[in-house]
Amino acid sequence: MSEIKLIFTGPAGAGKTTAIAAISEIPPVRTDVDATDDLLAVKEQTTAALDFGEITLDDGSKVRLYGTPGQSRFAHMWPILVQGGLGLVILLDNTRPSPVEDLAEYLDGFADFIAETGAVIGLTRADHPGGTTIDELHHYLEQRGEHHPVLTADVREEADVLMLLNVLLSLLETR
Amino acid sequence: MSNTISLPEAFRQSAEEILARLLDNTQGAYGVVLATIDGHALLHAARTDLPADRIAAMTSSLVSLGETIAHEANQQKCRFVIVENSDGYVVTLRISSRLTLSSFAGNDTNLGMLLSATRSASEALGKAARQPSETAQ
Repeated sequence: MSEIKLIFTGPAGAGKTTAIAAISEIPPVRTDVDATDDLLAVKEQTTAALDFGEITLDDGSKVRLYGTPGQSRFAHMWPILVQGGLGLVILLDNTRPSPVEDLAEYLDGFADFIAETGAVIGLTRADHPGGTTIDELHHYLEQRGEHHPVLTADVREEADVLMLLNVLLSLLETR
Repeated sequence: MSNTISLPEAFRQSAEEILARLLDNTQGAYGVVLATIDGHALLHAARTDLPADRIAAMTSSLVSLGETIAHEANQQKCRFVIVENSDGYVVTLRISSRLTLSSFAGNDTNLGMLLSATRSASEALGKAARQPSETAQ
């Protein structure tokens, strides 16, 4: 048995807390505080430090799941949370003005970690009218010279979140 | 991103006096930051350069972690989060549902006095925030 640490990141409201809650075998640890800024138009609370959950794989390995705060002023938590991590899930909210710009922010913010490990990208609310497409995200990645799996995901659904993790774990096994 | 809490002028003046008093009356104290619970700096007073915006966000993380750890440890109501460093202290507490107060002191301070002064300041701020003309809660 081994322990694996994976990190979920992405903009506020993309579904990091929801994704971890959807699959965690333990009651997830949350550090939500009341929002007092423009985020209130989207949600009432924001993660100020981290989310934490756990799952057990078929081979008995424990996977520890950490969610980062989404708002950029909490970016001090990002390098703390990725220590010892083996991979990153970047969740993008397709209802936001520019998921491509959001993706850029997180690829830049976690560049060193991604270079050492790996990342998978999950597009949430993918059917939002006028939103970004998987092809557009792939095109942007190509422009950056990067190659990461991109999937659509409803992070309220356990199966979708597990799919993201399975793709990430498969990616890590081939590195 | 701007926060929605506005500081009415009367509260701002009271708060500035309270923060200044904490610095003046607490040996070793060199900074104090009033912030929203989600990490926006509202007011600060300091004898040195203090990155209030970054500190406000970090102390928000501290408060949320302190409260979460207390709950996980089957303890009630986190009162202070105290960071003791080789050359000083950082103490943070929640004033109300939406405000936090953090104070910073060198190790020439008395920790008990610093905690007491910070608590007194937070009570004064809470009282000022509850005045009928105030909207900061």
